[in-house]
Amino acid sequence: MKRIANLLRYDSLKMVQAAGAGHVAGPMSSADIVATLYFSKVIDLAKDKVILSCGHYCPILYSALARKGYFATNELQNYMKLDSVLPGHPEKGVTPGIEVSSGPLGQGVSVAVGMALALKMKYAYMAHRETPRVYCILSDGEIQEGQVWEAFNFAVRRQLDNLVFILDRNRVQIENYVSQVVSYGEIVGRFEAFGLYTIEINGNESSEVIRGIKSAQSNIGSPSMIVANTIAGKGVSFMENDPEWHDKVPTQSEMERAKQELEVTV
Amino acid sequence: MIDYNQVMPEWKNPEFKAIRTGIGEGLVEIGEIHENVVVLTADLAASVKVNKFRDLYPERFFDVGVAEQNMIGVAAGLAHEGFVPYTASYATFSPGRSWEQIRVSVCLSRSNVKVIGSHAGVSCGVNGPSHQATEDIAMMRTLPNMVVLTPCDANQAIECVKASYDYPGPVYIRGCRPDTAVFTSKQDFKVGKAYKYREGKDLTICACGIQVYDSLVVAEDLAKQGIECEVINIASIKPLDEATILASVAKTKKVITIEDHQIAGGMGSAIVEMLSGNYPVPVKRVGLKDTFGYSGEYKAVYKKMGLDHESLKEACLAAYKM
Repeated sequence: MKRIANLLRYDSLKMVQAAGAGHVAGPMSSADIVATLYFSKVIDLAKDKVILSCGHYCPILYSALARKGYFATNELQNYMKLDSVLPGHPEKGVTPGIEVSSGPLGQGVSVAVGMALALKMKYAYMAHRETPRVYCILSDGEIQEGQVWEAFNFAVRRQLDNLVFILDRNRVQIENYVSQVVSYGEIVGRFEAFGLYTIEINGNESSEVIRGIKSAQSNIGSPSMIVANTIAGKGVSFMENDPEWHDKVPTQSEMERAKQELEVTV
Repeated sequence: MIDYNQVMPEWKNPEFKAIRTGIGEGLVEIGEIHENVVVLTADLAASVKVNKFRDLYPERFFDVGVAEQNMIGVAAGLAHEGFVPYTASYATFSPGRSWEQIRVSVCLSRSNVKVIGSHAGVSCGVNGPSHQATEDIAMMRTLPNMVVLTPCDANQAIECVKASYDYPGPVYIRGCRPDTAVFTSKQDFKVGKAYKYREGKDLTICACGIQVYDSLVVAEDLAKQGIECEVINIASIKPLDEATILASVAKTKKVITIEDHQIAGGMGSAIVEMLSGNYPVPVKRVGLKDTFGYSGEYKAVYKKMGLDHESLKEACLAAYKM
């Protein structure tokens, strides 16, 4: 799984390099989460939904969708280009496998809540473990949006236990370290206080991601929040933990070093 | 000449009912027929008249709390899974506060969400300017994929809600608070159609919402002075019924637009934009002139804002003389 995650990381870097724009830190930090969702069978892609609320992470999702066969991998080089199926932020109806338009932070969280509610209504006759689930990835900068907390209030009230949030807690946002911008206090405790079933994991270990998801899947009566502690820019030493790499475009020599460190052979 | 196929013969002595009430009744009607209709509100079920739907179909009704941004997102998620969600709040809160959610979660995604903005315009009255949405038409009609509907009375509101269900895509429906004249006979409502209620050769009056009835009264008054106004209900501001408007303007050569909304970006702006490229004629626009409303009983506010009978009559006379 680590090999797949690193391949997706390298795909993402190549996309950002080719486009001359895009984000690096988030796609790299969340690669193990995305790889696990799409390649481990811990979720049922035939019926479950994946929503990337932090839409600027889309290179990693596009890479996963391409490697999964939703579209040809050579389409990745057209990321952000006019008339390509891979716009700068996810758009419903444009990219195979993308079900929700996202990008403006916080919005995907509410849409995920609505979809989980709809699935509960449609499949009310099903047992809990059979009900289709919604997996929503959000970022730790994103939870500065008030809408996110509006959504939690409602999701908990409606007992949406088919809804699993995965927070990519990479501790950077576009301008700075998250902790330099705002104070979240004790973040796990905060989610618990809102009524979310909260699990803290190492989000850069696939086995940990699987543990978190399985724990969420067995929880009944409330939505889950997997707090995935990750490293921004994970996998390439000079990109790690540096807000500058939130949206920096790698040079050719940086790409070569990245390829070596990620041990990608293709 | 009033078209009594569309206007009730007893229109001068009408019953009074709020447009918001008609919207609520329309929701009950479609809710009864279609099981995929769901209604969401942000803690304003009674005010925006979706409480009947709530009482009849509690399993398809969701009060999201005082959280308009989340309301729109949840509606979009429900629409993705085949439901037809109607969100209802004061227009100043939604679409007002939830505009960007409507833009991306609804319009960009072409989600089949219907947004109801009630208490629109200064006719909202006593709640004061913070609660009077006077920019909602402008906000909604600039959004790609969004339809903008402004029913003129409670009867048309019912038909408008029914038509919005049949239209596949985002729709904004503007509702108003006060009890106003119910004067249209129930007719099939069509998205993209304007309704001509009175024929005349001297001046085209384009009105929407509460101002349609008031325009008819003014037109009858002016007829006594030999001025024959054509009164058109712009119930669909987007898409706009260009053919009906152009046919009228070709005859009258002058237009007045009347709306309870800012003149910048509202229905009148839509008319002017369309005419300027097709048939430029003088247009007088009546509405709010870059100002907020006031708190007060709605008729008193209308008088202060130049939307009462006497002011409208003067404005129409001035337009006739353009």
